[in-house]
Amino acid sequence: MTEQSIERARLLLQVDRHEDAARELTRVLAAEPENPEAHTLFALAAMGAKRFEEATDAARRAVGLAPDWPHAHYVLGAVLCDRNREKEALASAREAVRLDPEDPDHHALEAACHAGTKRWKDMRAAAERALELDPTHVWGLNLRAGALRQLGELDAAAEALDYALAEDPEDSNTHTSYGFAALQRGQVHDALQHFREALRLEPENETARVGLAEALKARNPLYRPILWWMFWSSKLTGGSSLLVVFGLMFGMRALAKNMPENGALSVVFLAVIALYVLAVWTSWVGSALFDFLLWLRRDTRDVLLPRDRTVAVCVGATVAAAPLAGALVGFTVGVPQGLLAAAAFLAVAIPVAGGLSLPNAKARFVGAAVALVCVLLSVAGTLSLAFHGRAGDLPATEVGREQSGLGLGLLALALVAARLSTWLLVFLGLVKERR
Amino acid sequence: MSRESNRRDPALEALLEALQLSPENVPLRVHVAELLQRAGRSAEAERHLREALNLAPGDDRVRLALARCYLEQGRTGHAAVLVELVVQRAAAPAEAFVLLARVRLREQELAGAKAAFRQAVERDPALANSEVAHELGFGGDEAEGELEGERDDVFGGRAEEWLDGAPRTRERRDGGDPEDDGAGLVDDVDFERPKLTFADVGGMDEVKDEIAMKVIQPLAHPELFAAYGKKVGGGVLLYGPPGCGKTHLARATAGEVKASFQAVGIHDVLEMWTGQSERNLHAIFEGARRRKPCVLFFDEVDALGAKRSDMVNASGRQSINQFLSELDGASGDNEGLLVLAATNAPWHVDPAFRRPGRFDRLIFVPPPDHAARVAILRILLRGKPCEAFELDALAKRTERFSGADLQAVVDIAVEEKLREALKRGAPKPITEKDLLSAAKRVKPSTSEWFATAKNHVLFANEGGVYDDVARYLGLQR
Repeated sequence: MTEQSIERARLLLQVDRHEDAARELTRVLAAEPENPEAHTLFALAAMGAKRFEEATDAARRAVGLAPDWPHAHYVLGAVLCDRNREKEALASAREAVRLDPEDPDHHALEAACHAGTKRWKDMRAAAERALELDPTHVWGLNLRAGALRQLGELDAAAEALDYALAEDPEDSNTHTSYGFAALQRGQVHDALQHFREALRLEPENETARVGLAEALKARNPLYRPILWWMFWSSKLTGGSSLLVVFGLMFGMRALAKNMPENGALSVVFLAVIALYVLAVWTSWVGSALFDFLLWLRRDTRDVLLPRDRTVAVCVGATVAAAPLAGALVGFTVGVPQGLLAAAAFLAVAIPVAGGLSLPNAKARFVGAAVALVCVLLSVAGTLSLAFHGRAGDLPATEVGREQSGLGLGLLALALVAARLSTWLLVFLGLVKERR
Repeated sequence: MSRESNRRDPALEALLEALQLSPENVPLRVHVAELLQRAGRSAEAERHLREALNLAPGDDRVRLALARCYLEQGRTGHAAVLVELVVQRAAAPAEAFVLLARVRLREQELAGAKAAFRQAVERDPALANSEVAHELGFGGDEAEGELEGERDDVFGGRAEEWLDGAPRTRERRDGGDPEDDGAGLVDDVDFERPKLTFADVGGMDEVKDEIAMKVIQPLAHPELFAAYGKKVGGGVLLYGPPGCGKTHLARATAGEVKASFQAVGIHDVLEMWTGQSERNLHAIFEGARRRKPCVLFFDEVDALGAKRSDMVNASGRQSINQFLSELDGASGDNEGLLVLAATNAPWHVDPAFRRPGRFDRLIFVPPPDHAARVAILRILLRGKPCEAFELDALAKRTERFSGADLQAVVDIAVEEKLREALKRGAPKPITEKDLLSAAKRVKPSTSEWFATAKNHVLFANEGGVYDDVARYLGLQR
């Protein structure tokens, strides 16, 4: 009876009927609460049903019941890795490896844990250990290719993926990895093909969908520098990315401080600083802005994931509001005030893009609140100035000066808030998504 | 777990020890099994009863005990097999008929349940006004009428299938050999002749038209279809979100073509995989072939027809191959046999299933449309104190709601009203406003299905296989 039920649960898991499998296993566990196999299967079923806490509890129970069973540690590691708890997951993966070093899955799981902590060399080494045991291990091949890609060995990564595809041409993940490798090498057409194939094979593969959106955006040459930056920065660990951000920031400050008062050199300095500001703005807003362009087209709109779509629309609306606000204030008050209003909206696009796309839900909530405050400040400042202009009060009058002062103050506050928000967003970005 | 529990129950432990000393003592084994069952350890009880049945294959007491055990586990089909073996005997005890009545009730067959209980009363008149009679809802003519009246609805007494999203399959099996213990094996299948027709299905006109064109008319006018080069026969795969009446439509289809009907559910399918799949599948198809014209309906066919590339175990792949071979008519003539299948996940079905001659016609069964929702709501509100109002506004508000979702709406409204009545001490009728506000609290359960389906429409709609869903979602360009 139990064996049959367990076999049924396995079959249900194979066809992604996670809830049915969980129900079947609940019955088994009611009869045999100390059956570690049933607990591991239940963990996998609960994980598939996105009941992560239950999955973790079940896997831990399996480990508690059968501490010498490598598969229990493997399942616990897989569940924790899926929940982005790589350090704990790595401990479980290593225990599985210790108990059964001959199973390539155990080494592959270890490699997957290293991917989460961006330890690319360790990831490659673990993937290669899996491949030593089974050279046709598709997961291992994919992981090795991913590590090679991050280590900059793009040709070797492509070779590894060719091999993986030859082994299993129907593996959606391999096509996804291939797509990213192609994108990184600038082969946009190939990337598009592989992402489309990955989605054909597994329409719910969200990574492939993100890849397809990136490839579609990369058809525009203006987007390619942004993509390059994204690939480059994705290799950095949390600490290194902070070092880069603050290094560049202090470098530019030093440049601004030491800028000559006039002459050709001052123009160069100014150009460098302007370029830096543009690069910083683009690094925050560029991807979402190009997503907005995809959203505007009916044939590419549905490629965006729901959350990316929301960010794209919000960022698009904020950026589009900049010229409108500029024109409104420019006509009613004056050009400098109009430029300030436009600049405020452009700056506020940073917390909107950064805040809404934070991976961690709590951090995203904070980011969204900050973005909302910034947007409200910009809108209030713009309306205050525009109302003043429309009311016909001249800035020279006392009321006019008050009104104008309030509007300008709000816009300046929006600019400062947007500037400060970047620091906050950098730190919030370090908070991982927990499931 | 069992050892630990045994320690807690010394009497049972003593009996188990006694059983070890005399393992061939059938009465003792049955007694132990009954005690185990009472202790909620039905898996162990089943093991002992099967062992007892091996020792005494013709023992009715063992059969009935095992049937009770199966019924408790929800394995109605298995229970039915055993009980039917017992009631075939002239000296069948009243308790066998009571058990049969329970089985029939579980199968939603009120008429069968009543007939079985009547036979039980014939054997033991004391049962007429017993606790058992009341428990089963047969405690007098009035109760009996009421019970039946509740289910006598525009759906021909089968609205439940719309409502809970869990289609009830008939799992009754005849034991071919009276001496066969019937446990686990399918030697033959019991078929029904549904009286339900499309006229009993509220709304869903487009789907009914499509089924008529793809299934019913080709059978009624084969020569006309042949003249236009359209093929007759083969299978039809109904797909759509759960709880939207696929089984109900399949049964109505059988009623329309006046054919026998046999539903094979997910549990049968899974048991095939873990048991003697080829033999079981062949038995089902053979039974259908003997009762032509016949509609054979496989529910949740994705569990059977999952992509073979996903199958890790060989027995799964073997089952699929066997199923395909039966569909192709390799092991028998499929003329007059209509195979319908339903699935919530057509994307998990092996592409081989959709080749010509197999399930080559896909029909999308969307959530109940406006007319169907009105019909379902009318059934759900029947017998409840309601103000007089049209159901149109509520039906409009509940777009994309499945039958189960509509049930939830009514339940919430009723609960609210009950709470209010208890507070005020006087009951008030349910109003349209109550139902509309309850509808706001229910999120259509079909949303998740459509989110998944949308991905398949966007990225894997090869050959326009999901065009109907695309049209429904307004994605068709």
